[in-house]
Amino acid sequence: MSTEQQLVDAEIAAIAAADADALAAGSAPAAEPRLDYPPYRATRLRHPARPAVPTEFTSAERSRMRLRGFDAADADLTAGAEGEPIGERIIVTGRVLDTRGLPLPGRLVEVWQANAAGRYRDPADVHDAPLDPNFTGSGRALTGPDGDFTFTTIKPGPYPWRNHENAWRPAHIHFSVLGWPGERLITQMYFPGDPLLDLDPIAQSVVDPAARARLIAQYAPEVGEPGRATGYRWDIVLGGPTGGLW
Amino acid sequence: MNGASLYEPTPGQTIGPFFAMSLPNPELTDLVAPDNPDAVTLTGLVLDGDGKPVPDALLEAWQPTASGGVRWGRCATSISGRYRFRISSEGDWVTLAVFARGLTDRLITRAYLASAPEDAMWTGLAPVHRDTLRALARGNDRIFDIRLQGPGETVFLVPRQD
Repeated sequence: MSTEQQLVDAEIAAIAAADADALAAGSAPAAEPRLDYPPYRATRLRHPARPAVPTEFTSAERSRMRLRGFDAADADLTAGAEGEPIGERIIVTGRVLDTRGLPLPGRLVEVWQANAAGRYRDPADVHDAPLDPNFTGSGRALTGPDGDFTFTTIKPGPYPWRNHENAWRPAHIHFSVLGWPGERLITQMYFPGDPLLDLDPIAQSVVDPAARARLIAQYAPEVGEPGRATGYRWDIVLGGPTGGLW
Repeated sequence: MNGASLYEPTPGQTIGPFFAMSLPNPELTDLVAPDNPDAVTLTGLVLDGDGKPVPDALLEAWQPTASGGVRWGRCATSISGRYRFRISSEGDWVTLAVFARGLTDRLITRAYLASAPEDAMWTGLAPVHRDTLRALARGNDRIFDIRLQGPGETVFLVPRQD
């Protein structure tokens, strides 16, 4: 008698094996997730069946853009409430780069996440875990001259979702990077050593293991603050067919 | 580690269902001011492969300006799957990005405002596929539905790799 997780695991493994065979036969690794990824059940009716059409984007679609209407001084998710949020205080820092490694300054980085108990402050989240009155889980920052960003927050908890029975999302922080037109990435940052990562159809929708590893932050003691917060480092590289630049 | 491997692109991931308290903002749906003489509404439904509305999508819109700049806006779909931007009626198209739960990465498309745009991508498409990219003018509305899958599936775009 298989559990639903074992069935999902088998589907994930079969796709990964076929992809590894294709790589061994000479096909190029794909940096992007699969749009049609059956282990993630909600992709079934939401992935286009036809391939995207290669298109020359115009200079106007790539031109420099002024970001307006954002209060970009909101990078400490543990501040602003009357009390301290509950959970493991963490500092997440990194840089937004292009594929040549050049920093991308002045880009908007938005983050959102569950609290330490794995609950989002969102009416759509019905997970039976406590809200934290001192934690909204939303933050934003503009990248600095070196493309750098730093968020102080709480390590999010894993939470159940309805993909299959006993499905749990690994702890993650949602990241949105909005730059000049064509620089547009929404992704998720994961934590090293999380046992849920191998079981998670969303993380595994990035089938190439090397590409998937780029979604996992590194533990970085020098980023933390003694006696106050642990630290993680995670760089974001914009580029590739769907990863960032169009 | 060699230099190239340090700068491989970061993969996308689904926006998930819980962005509503963080990303959308009613002030972001206007690419032009309401009193702009060329202001029109770009609106439509986001539909899944069963033709059902997608109530948890986020759309972003980029519209080139005559002076070489670009306007940007963001709008979440409503419970009925509808989005609504205020755009300028000037110009050939609006570039749209679609994010949603169940969509592992963003999709890019264009809503063509002009009846006969002159560009290579458009002229290279079969007429049946062009029709999915036409925004229909109805008074001050430009109607553009996005079908993620199935009959009338919207044409989505990727950059041509040189």
